[in-house]
Amino acid sequence: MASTEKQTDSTSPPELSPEAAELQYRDMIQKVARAIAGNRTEDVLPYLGKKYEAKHVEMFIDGNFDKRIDVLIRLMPFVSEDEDFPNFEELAVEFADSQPVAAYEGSSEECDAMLKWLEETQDLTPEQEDTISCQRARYEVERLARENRGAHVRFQELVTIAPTLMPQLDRGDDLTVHLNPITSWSCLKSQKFLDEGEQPPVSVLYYADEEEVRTAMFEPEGQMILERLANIQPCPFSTWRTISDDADAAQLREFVKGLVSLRLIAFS
Amino acid sequence: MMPAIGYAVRRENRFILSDPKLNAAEITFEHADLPLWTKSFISGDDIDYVAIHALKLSVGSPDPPGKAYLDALKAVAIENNATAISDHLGFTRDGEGGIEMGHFAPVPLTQPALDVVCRNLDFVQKYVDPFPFYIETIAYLFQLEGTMSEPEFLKKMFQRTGVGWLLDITNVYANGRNFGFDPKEFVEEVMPYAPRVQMHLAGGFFDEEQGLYFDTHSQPIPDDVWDLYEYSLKLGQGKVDAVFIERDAEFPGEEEWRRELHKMYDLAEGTSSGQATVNS
Ligand SMILES: [Fe+2]
Repeated sequence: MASTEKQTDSTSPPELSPEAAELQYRDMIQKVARAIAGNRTEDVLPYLGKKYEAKHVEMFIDGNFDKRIDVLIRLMPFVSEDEDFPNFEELAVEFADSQPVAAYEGSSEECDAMLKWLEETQDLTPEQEDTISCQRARYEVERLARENRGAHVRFQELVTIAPTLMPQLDRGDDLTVHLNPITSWSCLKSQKFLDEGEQPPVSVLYYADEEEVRTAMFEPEGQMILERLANIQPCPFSTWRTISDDADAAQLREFVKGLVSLRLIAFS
Repeated sequence: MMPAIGYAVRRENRFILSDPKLNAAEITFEHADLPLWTKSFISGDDIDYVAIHALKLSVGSPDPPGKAYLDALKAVAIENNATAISDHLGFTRDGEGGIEMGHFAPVPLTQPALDVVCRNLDFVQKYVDPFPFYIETIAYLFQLEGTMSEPEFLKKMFQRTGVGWLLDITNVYANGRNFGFDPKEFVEEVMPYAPRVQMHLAGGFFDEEQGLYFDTHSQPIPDDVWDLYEYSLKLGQGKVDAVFIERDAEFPGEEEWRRELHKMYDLAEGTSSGQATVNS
């Protein structure tokens, strides 16, 4: 018994200090993780337990890769379901092969990276560029909502009573105006998402409406009035009206009615 | 003690939250962390025990879990009035400046891995305090070369960290069937060392060609898994806090969702009232 133990000892590598052992561990995890992410089964094999075969590692790598592609397809619906990207899955595979996901990054960063990759590596038509900018604006709305969750929730509560307060504004009461805090502007360059008669470029506002991202298109004048409101809100209606001198009171009230029905502004 | 009984909740089975035999729900963090949501994932339902289940803490990685992820996890736990938080024993990334692999791979069963895992679990438990944290033992297709058995690793981990065990019954069943050990002996060996326990149950399928059981969460729970569940309940009596069924694909009709929930409930009730017998 004792001799067996001794024999084991003599063939074991010398004991490492905890620091050295951790460095060795870090190095191994790095090699294995990168081999798995890079679809290199052979680089995992030196670290594989005795009971296991290359086919087990391969199955794991294939499963991981498939899940990555599924996530890209699911989380980029605007692009993956778009008729201008009929080969989205192939592109997703090419993208996933070309770059791994950086440590600590999640699906949203990966989707952003794929949009960037599409712009950098593909010869995009204006229609495809519009699809990408729509998807990106949607992510931007989600990012803003995540970062300003309190403001998003408060506005969504407020906006439900906006139609009932509208008559007070019509009677001349000076209500405080709140603009939806979760908005992002983008510009459409092609006819793809436009109705007949509309000419690109057109500014589109993406905004959060409860759990959805909605869009609204504006003439340059409307965009300007909204941007002014964004800079001073929440503010009394009268203040907004004063700085919107290019629209008369009746026009502005009509514009406001439209914004209320879009759930873009609220009152208190 | 009767554990809380519930499902991993998703859109397809939300109706079950009002079932009289359900008083627990597990929410996958990624499902609940929806940027535009104005209300919590579990809302207006009278749920005694809510667990938030995470995927990306990667406690086997040499660097600590990301603070942004932990903050978001804790926020979702607070928002949903959660009782506990959990994640998996594995690694999904190498380290800072490195890469993500996607799904978690099993940590090697070695002393340096144990040291790293324990350090990360201490960090996570402190970070998510006052929520108790549970670590799930995963199903694997391979293990890296190790120097100790899995039960040995787990026993030391529980002793050093006091972390809860999320015992996925199907994972143990799959690993045992695929790689030749007795799942009951495994649970028997580890259970005494786990300070508190949650359980998962799910159904997968056996791939004849590969000779492997895959834990796909897409099939009815097999009889052997029910048997191991009952056996584990008995072994863990007094410290099993909650049990959840996971179903992620090929969703059944309402009757089947309820049938499995009720079976899980009835077996737990039988065990806690001392009716069940252990047949090893
Ligand atoms: Fe599980």
